[in-house]
Amino acid sequence: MSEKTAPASRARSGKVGLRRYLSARMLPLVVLLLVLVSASAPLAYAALQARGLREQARTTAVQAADAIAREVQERPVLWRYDAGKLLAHLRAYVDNAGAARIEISDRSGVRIPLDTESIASPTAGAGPLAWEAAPIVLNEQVVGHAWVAVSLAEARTAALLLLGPFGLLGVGLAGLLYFIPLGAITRAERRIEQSQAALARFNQTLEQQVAERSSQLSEAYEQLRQKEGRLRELSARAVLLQEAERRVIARELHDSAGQALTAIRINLQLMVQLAEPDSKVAKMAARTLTIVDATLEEIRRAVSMLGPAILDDVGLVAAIERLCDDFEREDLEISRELEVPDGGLSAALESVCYRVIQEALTNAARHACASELRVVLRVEPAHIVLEVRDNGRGFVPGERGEGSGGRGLVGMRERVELLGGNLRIDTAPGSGTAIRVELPRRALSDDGDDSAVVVA
Amino acid sequence: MEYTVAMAETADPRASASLAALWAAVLLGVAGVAILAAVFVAPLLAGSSDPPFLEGQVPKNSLLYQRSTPRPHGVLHLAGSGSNIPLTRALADAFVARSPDAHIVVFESIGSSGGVMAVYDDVVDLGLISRPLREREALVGVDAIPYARVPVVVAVNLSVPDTAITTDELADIFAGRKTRWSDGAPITVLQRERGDSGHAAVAKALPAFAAADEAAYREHRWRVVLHDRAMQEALAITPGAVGLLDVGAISLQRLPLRALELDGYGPSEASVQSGRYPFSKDLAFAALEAPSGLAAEFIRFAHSDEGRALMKAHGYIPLPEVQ
Repeated sequence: MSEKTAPASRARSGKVGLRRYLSARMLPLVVLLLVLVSASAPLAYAALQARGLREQARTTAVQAADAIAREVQERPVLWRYDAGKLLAHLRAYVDNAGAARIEISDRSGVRIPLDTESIASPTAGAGPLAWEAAPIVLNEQVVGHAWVAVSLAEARTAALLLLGPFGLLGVGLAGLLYFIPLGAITRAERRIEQSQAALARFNQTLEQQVAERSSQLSEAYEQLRQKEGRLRELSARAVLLQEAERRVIARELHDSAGQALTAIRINLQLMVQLAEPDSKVAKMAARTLTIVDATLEEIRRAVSMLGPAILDDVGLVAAIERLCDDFEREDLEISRELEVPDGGLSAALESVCYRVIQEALTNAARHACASELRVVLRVEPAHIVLEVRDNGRGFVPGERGEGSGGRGLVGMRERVELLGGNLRIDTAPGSGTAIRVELPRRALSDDGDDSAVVVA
Repeated sequence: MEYTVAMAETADPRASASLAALWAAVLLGVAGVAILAAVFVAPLLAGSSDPPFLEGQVPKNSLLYQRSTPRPHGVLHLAGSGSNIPLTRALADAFVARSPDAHIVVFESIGSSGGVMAVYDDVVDLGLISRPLREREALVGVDAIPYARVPVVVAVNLSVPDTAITTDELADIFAGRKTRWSDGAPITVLQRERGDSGHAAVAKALPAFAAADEAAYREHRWRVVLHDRAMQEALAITPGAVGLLDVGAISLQRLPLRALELDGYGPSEASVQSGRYPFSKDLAFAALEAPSGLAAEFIRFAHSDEGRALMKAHGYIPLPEVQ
């Protein structure tokens, strides 16, 4: 039965192969079941039937031998010649006991001719005969044997006939044993294949979804980066504008209010000289002169605060040199390594550099107790690098956040980050402090317009 | 999907090994069933083609041939057909009365065939037969020495009123067509076994009877009696019984039976000799060689005037000694 199903199943179950696997293992079991079911019952029946028939034949032989033995006792010599009487004894067994044939043999094993016609049951066909014998005993001597034959044809035929229905039963049972699990496994296999297909589809859509999501995410990230960049530009531009504004205000203050106050001061000095000494006017003028001086000082300070005018006057490198000169003392040596690009720096970058160095020098001078200071301004392809390194006592980062120096560091960081740069402080107690600032040069490319706009 | 294929491929050698083991186990089981059938069932079902005994004639010089019994000098053993026994015993008595040194034993009936075989086996000195020798019996060297002819009569129980029937009626009775005597009493037919000399004699003379007789055997229509003695007794005590018997037996043993006339003729010597009474059989001695000694003396006595007179006295017809 597998010849038909196996190729079909192989073709169909190429994916999972459960059906082929099971069918290959079921087949031997099915064959065994078929053989056992179809063969055992007919075999058992034939064996029992044959045993019964032989037993019956033996019993009949014993009875016949007993009957003959009585005859032998009466006529020890002539019994064997009295065929009529022997026949009369034996015919009853043929007729009643179902024996197919009965024969008597003498002590030599020679058949005693009983009749021209043998004693045979009319129903006994030409089938195989099973012979059973019982001894005929006279005075404890065997004088002959009674032989009884039974026909085994019926038992054989019945066993062969039983093979039919039991073979059918075996085929039926084997078919059930084979096809029920195979059907179940086929259905299960189909379901597995369906779910596997669904899983594959799900996998595919999942990958698509992930790809979509990640592209959306990267898009959003890109947007965010662009926004951040724009924001940085904006903030840089704001810083630039603010710085330009400050310088304008500072210049205005310096040029107009400062000049006016200087003129007033000159006039006041003249008034002091012209007025009578110790007169009220002289006193008043002198007092006013003091106020003007104070105001001038205020204005100078404000101008300095608003924008280091020195940058406009001498440029960044000279301004830094002058700043270092200001801080240099007998016990503090400041080495410099200053470099600016050919086109110079934007006003915002310049002022940030100047203020960072100013703040760092201030901190070093005030708190570090350093004996050496090194100031570096370097141009890299993408960055302006600024380093201020001292050999002072250093500090534990974060500890001095509350102090003015701390606020100064925070202000430095804010300025640097507004221009898209970063600030790093390497310090530990006893091992000096190094402040490193990286500022992107990108701000340089479009600073011309800004400064022009601002300055204008 | 990939992993199942991979699993199937990697598991393949191991799986095929286990499959082969499974097939081996199954084939072993099938072989077991076959061996069981061959060892236990086949011998039970096997019939023997050869009979378990020796068939046919065994030569007399074979070691298997040890049947002859020693007989003392002066003793004559006779055995054979029951028809011969009454007359032979009467002859033996007469013979012994003449020569008192002799002892003659006439055994109970073993039938004509048994008598021939007994004499062939040298178990008895003379066999007694009431039918012609068969060709096979003559071939082994047995001779028949006839000494008397005896009419076969239709004997009835004394309760039967009828004294005569026709041969057709006899055939009808055995065929079951005539079932009542003239007084209305039912007829009980007693049949001898197949091959009986009396039946054979009647069947030879009356074909209608032969057919009815054969049919009766086949259909087990009548009671079958196996010996003369049993027949005599059965006829004597069964009301309405009819059967075939020798006339000599009736007269010699003074049996309470009546012999019916057939077609108007009684079983007399004259009617038998003329053929008007149709049923008769010849009684003979069977001897292996030319008998000698006491046996020859007895045969001579049977053919002597005294013997012939004895036969005639009881309805037997003496036959001349064949030279």
